[in-house]
Amino acid sequence: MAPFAKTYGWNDEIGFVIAFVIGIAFGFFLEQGGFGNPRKLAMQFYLRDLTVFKVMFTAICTAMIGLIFLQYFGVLNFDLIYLNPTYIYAAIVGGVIMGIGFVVGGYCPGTSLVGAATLKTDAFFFIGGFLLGVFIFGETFPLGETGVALADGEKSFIQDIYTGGHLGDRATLPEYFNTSAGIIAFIILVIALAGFVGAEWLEKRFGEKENS
Amino acid sequence: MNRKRYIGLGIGLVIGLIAMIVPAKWAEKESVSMDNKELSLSPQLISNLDKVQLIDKDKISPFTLCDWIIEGRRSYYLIDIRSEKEYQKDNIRSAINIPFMELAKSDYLYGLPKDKLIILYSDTEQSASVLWKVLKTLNYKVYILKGGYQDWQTIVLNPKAPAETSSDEDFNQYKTRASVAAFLKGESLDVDSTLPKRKAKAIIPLPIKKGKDQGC
Repeated sequence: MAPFAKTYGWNDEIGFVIAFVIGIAFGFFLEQGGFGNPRKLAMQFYLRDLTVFKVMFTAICTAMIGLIFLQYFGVLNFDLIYLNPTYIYAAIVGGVIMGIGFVVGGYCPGTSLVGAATLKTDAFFFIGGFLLGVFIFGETFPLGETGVALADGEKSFIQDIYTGGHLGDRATLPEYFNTSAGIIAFIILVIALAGFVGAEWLEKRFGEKENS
Repeated sequence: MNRKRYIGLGIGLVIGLIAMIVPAKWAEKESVSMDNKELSLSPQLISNLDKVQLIDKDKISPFTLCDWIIEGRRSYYLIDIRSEKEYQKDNIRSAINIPFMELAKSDYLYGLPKDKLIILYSDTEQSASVLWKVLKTLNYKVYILKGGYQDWQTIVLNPKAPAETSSDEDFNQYKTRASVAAFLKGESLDVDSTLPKRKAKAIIPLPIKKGKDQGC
């Protein structure tokens, strides 16, 4: 029964090999889908090419429906799958920062690696930038606003955001809205389908403008 | 929109409708479902079940339990509520095995020692927290093992070796934990062989100021 790693107690090394293979495949298909091209990626913010939106939403729906059916047929135990704890404020702030980075740089962290695989110079600068950001965040996180390390129990503004709005370690939409996973899945699917229709309409409208 | 798009939309909607009807098990909070009527509890006690809430205070951390086992404390009663098969495969030293359903439905419920702490553990916290409620309602001094057997395995039995550049404190802590893990697993272990080689911290010489400031 899946997840195999936990049901059969696979060690980290096996996990790394599997992650490596899946990672290569993921990167390959992203590249083939045109996700290594920052112009194409940035076009979604001008509503001219919504491929990214469509691909990502399709992936979400596929995974969601897959989880529901695999669980139903007893192939997968959802309780054993690791979920990130939900800190809603950090998620919002992180989402905004990532969005700005995406529209300015033309990449998200994953696609910048895809771009680097085809030796795009801007992708290397993007990777350098986010690694620098990670480094600065990591080094300054334990410090207070004055630049001095905090005592036990004290929290800086950043740490407050980082740990604020904790909705739970395994927060899921069905639990949050107190309904079944199937109903949430159906609603998300309807939103996705409406989104796809809307995206095509937008592409037709704004995409043509660019060509003319 | 062309015909293919309509067909795609239609298929999407049908899949969504089927998913809506399929009972998705993770909507239930506990993976183990238990009909309260099957419990040998009075109706009044059953109605009290929802009044008790498990909070962090009711969880014993793996390290605390580990200390107690090493100290040889006898003031607690450790119950493994997983199946007999899982218990036979591996378990926490000093635990006895009373599988979930047996404990939930039988005379065990009334026959546990009231003067000792009762610590329940299952694979994760889920099944243990269901039984915790039942035993709490029966006024036992009951706790659950934080993170269940899974955390016990990852944190206590397989402690992670520190990085090469970690502090002395981390190294010493790891040494203690690795010896404890070996003791609990009944293995003999040369802890030092599992440690990465330490990198000596570079000693940076203080810059000697030359020029104007010299000789002050």
